[in-house]
Amino acid sequence: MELHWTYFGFEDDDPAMERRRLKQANLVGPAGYVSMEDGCVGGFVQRGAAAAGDHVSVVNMGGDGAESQETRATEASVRGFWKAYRRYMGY
Amino acid sequence: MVTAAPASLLQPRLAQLNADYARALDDDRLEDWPGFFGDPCLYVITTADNHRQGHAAGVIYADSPGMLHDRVAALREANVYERHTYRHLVGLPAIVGESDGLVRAETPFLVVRIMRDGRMDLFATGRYLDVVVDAHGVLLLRERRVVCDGNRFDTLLAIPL
Repeated sequence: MELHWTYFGFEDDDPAMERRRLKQANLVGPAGYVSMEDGCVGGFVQRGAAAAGDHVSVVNMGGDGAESQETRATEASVRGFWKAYRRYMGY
Repeated sequence: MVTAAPASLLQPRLAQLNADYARALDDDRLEDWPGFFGDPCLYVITTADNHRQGHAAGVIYADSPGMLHDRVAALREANVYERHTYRHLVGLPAIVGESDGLVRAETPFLVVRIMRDGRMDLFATGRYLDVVVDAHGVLLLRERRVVCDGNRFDTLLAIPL
């Protein structure tokens, strides 16, 4: 799988803002401060899954609620976002 | 423009700079890496395509020595990634310009990435587009644009090129 990263700025960005955007791009991509470990875990999962092609695995992480959790390992904010999105879009 | 005499003196020094730079990275002496740069400095990893089109963003973008130190600190203490090393093969530097005490050089490189299980991949080839300054007898990188030939990077680009 390939990801195509496109970074946008605005024509009226001043040089300081442009520099800030260029620096912010360090967070994402193959060398991203944030996304580097996502890539690492994805690699583990991909190699693990290759050995069990006829199996299915689901990790629910608390079910389908969107309540605050004690820990940051939670899907609550993402679930909350999509619940609101579906409501606004009338799905 | 390039004059023959300074170029002939500079080329071995540039080659030495590149050899030291590559050894530091390949020997896992990442803490030494920022020391190859001057202040101010610019270090960018990009693709030949993006470079050609004048796109400024990089896969890594650092425009101060502090950002280089941050990158090393993150790799040592914060980021989670699979253990790996590089083997750099760096070609001879071509001096392509000289003005106001700054030298522009272009140097081809090839990097093999060795993963913790011993797997080797041809990870990147490209050119270092450098602006180098002679700071009291020591050559320092004012700019190093790492322009990679390929259009895509494998998931893991942790260690600088």
